[in-house]
Amino acid sequence: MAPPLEPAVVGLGLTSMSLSAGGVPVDLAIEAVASALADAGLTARDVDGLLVNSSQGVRPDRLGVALARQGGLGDLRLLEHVEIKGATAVAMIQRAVLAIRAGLASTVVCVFADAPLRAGGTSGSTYAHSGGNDGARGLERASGVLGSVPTYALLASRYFAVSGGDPEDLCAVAVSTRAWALGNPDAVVRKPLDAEGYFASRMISTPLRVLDCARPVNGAVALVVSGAATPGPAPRIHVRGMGQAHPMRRRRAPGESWFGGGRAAVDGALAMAGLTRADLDVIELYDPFSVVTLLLLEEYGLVEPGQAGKVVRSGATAPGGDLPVNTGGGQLSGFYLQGMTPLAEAVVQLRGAGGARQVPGASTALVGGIGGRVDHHACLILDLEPSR
Amino acid sequence: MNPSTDAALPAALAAPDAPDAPDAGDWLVDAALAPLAGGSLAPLYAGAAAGELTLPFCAACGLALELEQRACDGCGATDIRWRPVERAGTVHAVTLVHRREPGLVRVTEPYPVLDVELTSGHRLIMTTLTATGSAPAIGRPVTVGFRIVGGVAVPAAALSTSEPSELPDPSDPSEPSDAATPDSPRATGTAPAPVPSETEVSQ
Repeated sequence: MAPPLEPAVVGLGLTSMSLSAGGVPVDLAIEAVASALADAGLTARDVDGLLVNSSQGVRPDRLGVALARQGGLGDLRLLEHVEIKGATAVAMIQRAVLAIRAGLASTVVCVFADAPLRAGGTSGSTYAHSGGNDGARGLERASGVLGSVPTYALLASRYFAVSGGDPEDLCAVAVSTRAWALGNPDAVVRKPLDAEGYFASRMISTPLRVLDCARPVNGAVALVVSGAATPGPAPRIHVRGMGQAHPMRRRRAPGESWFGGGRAAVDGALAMAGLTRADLDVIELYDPFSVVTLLLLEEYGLVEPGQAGKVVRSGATAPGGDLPVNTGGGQLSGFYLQGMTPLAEAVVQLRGAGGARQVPGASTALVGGIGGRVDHHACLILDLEPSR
Repeated sequence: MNPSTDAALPAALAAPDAPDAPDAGDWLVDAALAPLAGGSLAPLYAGAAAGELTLPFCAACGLALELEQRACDGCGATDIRWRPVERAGTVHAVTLVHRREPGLVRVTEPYPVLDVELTSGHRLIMTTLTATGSAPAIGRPVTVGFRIVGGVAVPAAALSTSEPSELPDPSDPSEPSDAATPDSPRATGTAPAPVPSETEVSQ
């Protein structure tokens, strides 16, 4: 049975974003879900679907479908732990919309929570000790590839060799993204940044400095997707287009091992929406490292190949520019909650709730989520207007 | 990780051609990062222990495969043959890692990590055979030898160029793949013809 209304995002809930140890994912998730339901004007009794996104890697406290029982929800018609690595959050919204359209659920909560910051250790240390000793990852770790920074540093090295980019491009991304964060009270880093400050920051793995890397937090974000009328005051944010792409790049000559192949996800979503790139008011991308923003701007066809650095250096992606990108400070300066970071910011912008960082008149957003080593792409076209 | 623990490693885990004093340890990482020699990359580690760089190919069509691939993307065959390849390639991507995790990384200076494109077509991530504070440029040729990490031989790059200061010490016992090795194919630019050998491992 078709839903009474076009499925839309009707609720958004964020916990506070903590830069210190504390909290466990299940508690953070429960808090975010309660906040999202309150935002939508709903209660747990209105929910008949729950989609859960946990951090990758097997940690004892990772979020799972047990959240339904532990979180006090009632009987459900849809319950899944979705796993497409970092692309999961965006893919969960796709899943929720399709399930509602098919009559399999009417109101679906999508939630991600993580708590990588532990007492007595940094998040970098948590990641450095993750990965095990088997398979390709075990060989890489024995070769000094600890955590994900050296991997993305190799990607950046290769990207520069192909595109002609250089560290000034990375600097421009970090500075532009920080400028957006200054207007976002949920951003964890809100100190003004210029090129001098960027180049003075600690090198992690050339060419990536600490300011090129996402800021992990302990926190959670939940969204409510519903095909029913809801009493919350915020406008319904419609999912007009969606797409995924999973390019099977191979680690062998002569192709590129590190990037390429994600454009089909955006092309498909725009075609579904009946829109073009020129219709996009805000671009919200999964940016675990500054180089990924450059890469995705090119890969998604938002700038000409090899021009991302030039475009970002021009100020086009910064506040006041004509291609606003990662308007909440992204994962670099906002907070790193995987795909929920760009998703939550798109909802805030389309609601007109962005305060000092609001892009005037924003009504259409592209949300791009990636997973693995830019191996998985899931994207959405969010819009204030329902599909035609 | 105390020295007596290292010394207690089962003899079976030690590479046959490991140096006489493996307890001296790898230059870069702690033995805790030793890869699982009997795991999914067992043919690679078995080959490495014998001084061979052993990598997977499709047994049906000969396509170079990724380390964890279980079916050929070219022809669909699931018979995978691991065989020795030429221990030579070029730098495809490179980084100098400045962050050094206490307890896991032994060095006090930044260290290189290379993505090497081998003449066989495979790309393999490795560090260098010996400590170096400089990152070789993309496109630079390398040869491949082996480090010993916790008793397991793992591929590592020797920077084979005109810069003498970066050449590996030929007397380094952890470098069984020195260019003088007589049975090592030295052709450049082309992969060696497939040479069936007793070291092949099917999986």
